[in-house]
Amino acid sequence: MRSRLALALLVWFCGCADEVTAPAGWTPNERLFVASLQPLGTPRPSPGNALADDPDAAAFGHRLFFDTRFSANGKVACATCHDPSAGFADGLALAEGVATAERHAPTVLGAAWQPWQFWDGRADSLWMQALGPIENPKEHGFDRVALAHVVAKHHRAEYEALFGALPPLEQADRFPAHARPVPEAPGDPQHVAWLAMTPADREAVDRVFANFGKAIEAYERKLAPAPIALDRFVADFVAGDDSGGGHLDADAAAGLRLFVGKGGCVFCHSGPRLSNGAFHNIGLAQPSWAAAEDRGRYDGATIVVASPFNCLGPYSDAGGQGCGELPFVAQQEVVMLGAFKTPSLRNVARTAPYMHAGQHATLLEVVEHYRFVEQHVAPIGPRESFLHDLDFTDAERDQLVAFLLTLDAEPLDSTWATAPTVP
Amino acid sequence: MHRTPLHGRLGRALAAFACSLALVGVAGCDSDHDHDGHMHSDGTLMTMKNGTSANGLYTISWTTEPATVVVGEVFVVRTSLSDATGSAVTGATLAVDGYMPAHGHGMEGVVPLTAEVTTTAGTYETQGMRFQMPGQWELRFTIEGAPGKDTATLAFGVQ
Repeated sequence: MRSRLALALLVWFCGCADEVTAPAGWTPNERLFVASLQPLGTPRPSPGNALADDPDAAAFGHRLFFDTRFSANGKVACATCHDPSAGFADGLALAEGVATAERHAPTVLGAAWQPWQFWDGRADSLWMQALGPIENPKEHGFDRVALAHVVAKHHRAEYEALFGALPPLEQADRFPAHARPVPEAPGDPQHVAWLAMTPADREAVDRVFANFGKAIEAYERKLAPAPIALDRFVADFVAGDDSGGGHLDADAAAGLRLFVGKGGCVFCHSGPRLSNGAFHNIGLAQPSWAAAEDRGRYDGATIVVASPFNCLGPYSDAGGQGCGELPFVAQQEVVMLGAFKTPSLRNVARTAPYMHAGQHATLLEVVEHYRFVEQHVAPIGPRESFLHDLDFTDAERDQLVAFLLTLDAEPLDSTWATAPTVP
Repeated sequence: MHRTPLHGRLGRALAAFACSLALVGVAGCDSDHDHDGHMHSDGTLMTMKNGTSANGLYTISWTTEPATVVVGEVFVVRTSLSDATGSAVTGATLAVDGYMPAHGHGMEGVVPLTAEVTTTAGTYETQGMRFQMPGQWELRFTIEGAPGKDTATLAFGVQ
């Protein structure tokens, strides 16, 4: 009551009463926010990858994506955790590679529209992202020199047509079977083997590694979410039809209004991809099945800036231009402790469970988390200051869930969503 | 006990905060126009592209590149500074920050950098700005130049 009086006084003082009188139907802000939920359009540019939109690179990346030979046990491909039949995710709380990984596998559908990759944004492109799981001991459990050997043995012609000659990997005295940098474990045999290589040979392998990622990215840029009912609703809404052409049923339309209105979902799930691409601590506890502590973006910001595979690095084709936010990334920012990337909500119905460690099994659970968010004390870092309990009835909660369930679409081109005929 | 949700009263709060900005060193409050006289069809989000600093030492105007700011994407703010006589202010130290009053937070994740554009007198360029949410923002200017130290706050509505 006191706050309402304060607002009324401010309004009177400013003479802006017409701005704060909520009209019948959609409010001005709700209208603005609905109109901002435009169709996706084309993927964001990838200045670090000159072949990002090359069709031959996409076809090559398609084969690499499904190839299990890039793993320690010969059984794990990118498609293992990003399974087309599971919405390009895996349906598990934590990804299962050669072992159980530390976070939930997010969908790759629409990832080419995101400015940051991984839950902590430790990659600034899909080509950089593709390199991480390869050398994660719990995911592919592989290494970059072994990867180069597999490329040479099974994909030489395609690789060299796109990227030029491979280094002389057959020279075993220069290129061991397995090697990778493991600076956190200097005694690791693979790290020792890596340091034993010449700087030039290490750079040659790093270039093959980066090019592997660039082909994967070219493929993943084909994985575009198809238009959804919301896109049709917004088109008609912007054209003046407050019912959005009836493209959402009554419950879902009411859920959209909550989404852009008193739910405040649109502040983070904003714009065409239904994600602001930023990082937030929403007070999630680490579940019993995950690591006790996860610092999220706080560490991701450090990693991406330091990596030689970022947009400003020597393996990037960007020439130092067009690298977006990377030159301005804040380091050791307290609000990034325990903060994770806002996921897109396109196809959200098919990518359960939710959150960075699969904390929530259903969308109902997710909405309930936000509805009573003040109960949740972040295990690390401060919860976002603007998050407060939602004044929702059970019926409104169900309407918001009904809306989220309408955000589902098949990939645009199903040929990209199946394993290639020639591995 | 549940607190009244912030977003439940957001529409009014946005407008009220925008109006309150008018009390901080900028001229007037107009619900249908920004300071450039640009019409707001919705009458809600407010943008003020020029104004006077709190102590009247500077006149400030700004533009962005790209002209339409996209939530979650970096953009550039170009600021023009002049003194009380209308002369361009060169050699000043300028910091530009973003703040979202209804939420009580600023920009997160970025550290913008400001440099003087020496080819155009009184012009400064701030790179690495990024608004992580749509809604009513403020641009907050901290200026230290020959006329003295001063601050200014100008509204910036972001869809």
